Amino acid sequence: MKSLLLIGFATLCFAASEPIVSLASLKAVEASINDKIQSNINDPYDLLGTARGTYVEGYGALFTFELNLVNQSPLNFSPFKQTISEEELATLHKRKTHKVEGLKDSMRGLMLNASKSLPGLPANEHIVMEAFLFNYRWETTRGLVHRVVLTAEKQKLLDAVNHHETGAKLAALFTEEEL
Amino acid sequence: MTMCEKNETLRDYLFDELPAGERREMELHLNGCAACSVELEQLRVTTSMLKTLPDQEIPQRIGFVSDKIFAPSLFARFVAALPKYAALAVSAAALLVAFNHPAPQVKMVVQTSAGVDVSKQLNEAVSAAVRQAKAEDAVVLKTALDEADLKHQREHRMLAVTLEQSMEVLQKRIGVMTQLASLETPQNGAGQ
Repeated sequence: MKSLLLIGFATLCFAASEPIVSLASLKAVEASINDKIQSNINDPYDLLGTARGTYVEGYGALFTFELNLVNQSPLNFSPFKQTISEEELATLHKRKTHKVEGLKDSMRGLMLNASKSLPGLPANEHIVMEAFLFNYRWETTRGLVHRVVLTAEKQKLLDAVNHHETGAKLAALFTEEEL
Repeated sequence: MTMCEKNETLRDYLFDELPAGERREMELHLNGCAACSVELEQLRVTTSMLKTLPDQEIPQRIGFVSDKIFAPSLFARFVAALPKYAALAVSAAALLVAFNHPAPQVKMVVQTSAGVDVSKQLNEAVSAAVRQAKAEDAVVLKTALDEADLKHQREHRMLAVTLEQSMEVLQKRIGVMTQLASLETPQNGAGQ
């Protein structure tokens, strides 16, 4: 009898320590991020670190991934091509600057979907998505963004999905940081 | 390309000097003869180039160098010949002096009134100038070499860093591919 009570107590303890956001749901969001980043066929990103999701109790779900905004060959600068013209550098810089906004749009869409894919996440908690942007050292990195962090409350995201909100109203739900 | 027998009449054709019958015959010939066609084209180019040259007046009188008008006066001829006479006179004087007086031993050392050896001073000055110039050259060369060395080191470092970063990117890409493949494998297996 005593042992049964002990087993029952241990079961309750384990049940209580199980995270409310399941690993499967986090992995589903990770997969959707990986797919989305790789789906841009015309001007693809270079995914350099797959999405990693984690749940911080009391705050929300965080997802990080790393990418190069422009998919360029690592051998763009090599023993065989030791010079890159100012024009090439300027063009690359311009392309990257231009693509940051597109990335943020994609991230917003992913976060809206994530709000539905994370049923265990309390509504008052957050979904955070952080993109680490890779730049080569030979690039002109002045003025380029290195990290983009978007944060939004799950309930607000769900409301936006339900009301099909777009544009400025939708963008207002997100806290954006560019580092 | 061989020359055609009708080549001679090409000029007449070009300058429109052939009778109508021959002209027609020539036109027919030109249709089939590549050599004549080329020749005619070249003649046309030459003619058109000649036409671009400006017209010039023909000179009223052509003077020859043998004309008396170009002949120099007696005084002018004397003045022109003066250097020759002078050279001859100097040579004659030199010969006279040479025969009358044997050549003295040339002493290279020049003495001043104060007794200072000028040539020695000159040599020292030249040596000093050469030494200074060499020293300056050495400094310039060293600076240039140092700069080149620095530039080379910078480029080498940059290349090394870039290659390292490129390798890092390749590793990351391989990592991503491996992870994505490992994620897809169970799903594919489940489907089978």
